[in-house]
Amino acid sequence: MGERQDDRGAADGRRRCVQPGATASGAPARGDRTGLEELLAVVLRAPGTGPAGGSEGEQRAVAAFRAARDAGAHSARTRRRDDWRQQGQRRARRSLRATLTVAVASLALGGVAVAAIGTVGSSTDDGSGAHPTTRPSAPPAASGGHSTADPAAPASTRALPAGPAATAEETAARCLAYEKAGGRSGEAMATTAWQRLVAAAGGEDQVTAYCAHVTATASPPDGTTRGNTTPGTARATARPDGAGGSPGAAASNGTQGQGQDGGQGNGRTEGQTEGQTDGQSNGAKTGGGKGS
Amino acid sequence: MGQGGEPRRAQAYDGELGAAVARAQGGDEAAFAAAYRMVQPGLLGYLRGIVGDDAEDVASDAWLEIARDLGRFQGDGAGFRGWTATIARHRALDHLRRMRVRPRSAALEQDVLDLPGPRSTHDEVLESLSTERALALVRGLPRDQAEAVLLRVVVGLDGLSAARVLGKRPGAVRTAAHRGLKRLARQLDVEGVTDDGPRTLGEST
Repeated sequence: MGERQDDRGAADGRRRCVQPGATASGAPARGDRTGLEELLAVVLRAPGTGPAGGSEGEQRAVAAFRAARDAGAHSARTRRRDDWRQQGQRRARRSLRATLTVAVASLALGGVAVAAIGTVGSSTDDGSGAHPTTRPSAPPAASGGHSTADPAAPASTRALPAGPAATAEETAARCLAYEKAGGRSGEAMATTAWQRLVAAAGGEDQVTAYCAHVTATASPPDGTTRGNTTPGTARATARPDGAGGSPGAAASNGTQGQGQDGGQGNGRTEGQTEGQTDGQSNGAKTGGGKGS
Repeated sequence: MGQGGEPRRAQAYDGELGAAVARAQGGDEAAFAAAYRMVQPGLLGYLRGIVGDDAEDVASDAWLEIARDLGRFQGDGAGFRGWTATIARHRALDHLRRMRVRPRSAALEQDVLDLPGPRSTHDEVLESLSTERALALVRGLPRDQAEAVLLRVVVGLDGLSAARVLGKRPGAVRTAAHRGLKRLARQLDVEGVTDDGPRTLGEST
């Protein structure tokens, strides 16, 4: 403190001959603090950056930079004191992203709601009394045949969305594992994969025959696998499971139903998809009602 | 807690500086030199206000560390100025700690005043005088005020960055900068500056 005062006194004394008042009559004559800041910025930044001194220091700094870069020091980990990203900017960016997400979601749900309005309108034409919104576009033949099983099937299908997506390759892989296990039902039978396999085959006692079909035709992965293996056994025994509420049975049934050309299978598939769409659109409608 | 009072001068280069730093972090040596040229004037001005004649040496030390740790840095151009100022400040404090044991020459070097270049006589005289005198006045301030003024005005940091460099609360740094500037203005006898005294404590920006 006293040291600095000495500095100032010495400097002032030394330079007193050159009109200290010149500063006051110069740049800060605008008369506000900004003028003073501008003057200080110009005055204190300018000196010492002459070509000679600046370039020497610059060369030294660049040499150090080169050495550090070549030594691999620039891949060092960022410490907390090296992180000068602005917190406010990060927060603002995140909130912007959240806003956009909400906007996109509301647009998507709004679209579903509009589609649902059209669906409900068309369902009045059918006029099927029991489930007007659940199966509006299902063919009459399908609605007649499975009026009792249908309410359970869409619910269970939604509860296990991964089921219908099981591909022939996955089934073949499960079968391979089953055969390696010696065809016995041990602890492995408790796993979800086994339960899916059993469901796909239509029963534990059907697994061996089912897998024999699958592995025999596993190499062409699409189309032929389903077509060859599904008729008969799978469908016949899976139906009761679906009615009984077993999720795996209903799920695999839906998948295989697509491969068949029977009217019942198609009817079920459409009924399920319509039921899902309506379920979402109902939610969207209630959500939209709250929002507006 | 707005940042309305942040300096404008240094902000103009922040985009360019941020790009140069990013390229330097990718290994571009010319970009590092460009960043050096953009940052060094403010850094040197700040150091000169703290350590006086030894500012060049301290800055040189600081740049060695900056060059070594550049890969660790994350941020934009404004962040880079804050980061480099922090490193320079640590080097300066180390230097002052070493210097405390022995007396140092108090006078500023004469060659600071010998500005080369074809300037108009009036500007040259004004800036020469102002540099000498402004430095002396800034160094006459209490340390916290001097540093706050230098970081905000000369280095061009905003209030939050300056506070982070100094390790203090933003409000304390703002107050220190304001008081320092007011005192400088009074000493420079600038008209109109001393009128804003009542705003000193109540100012929220």
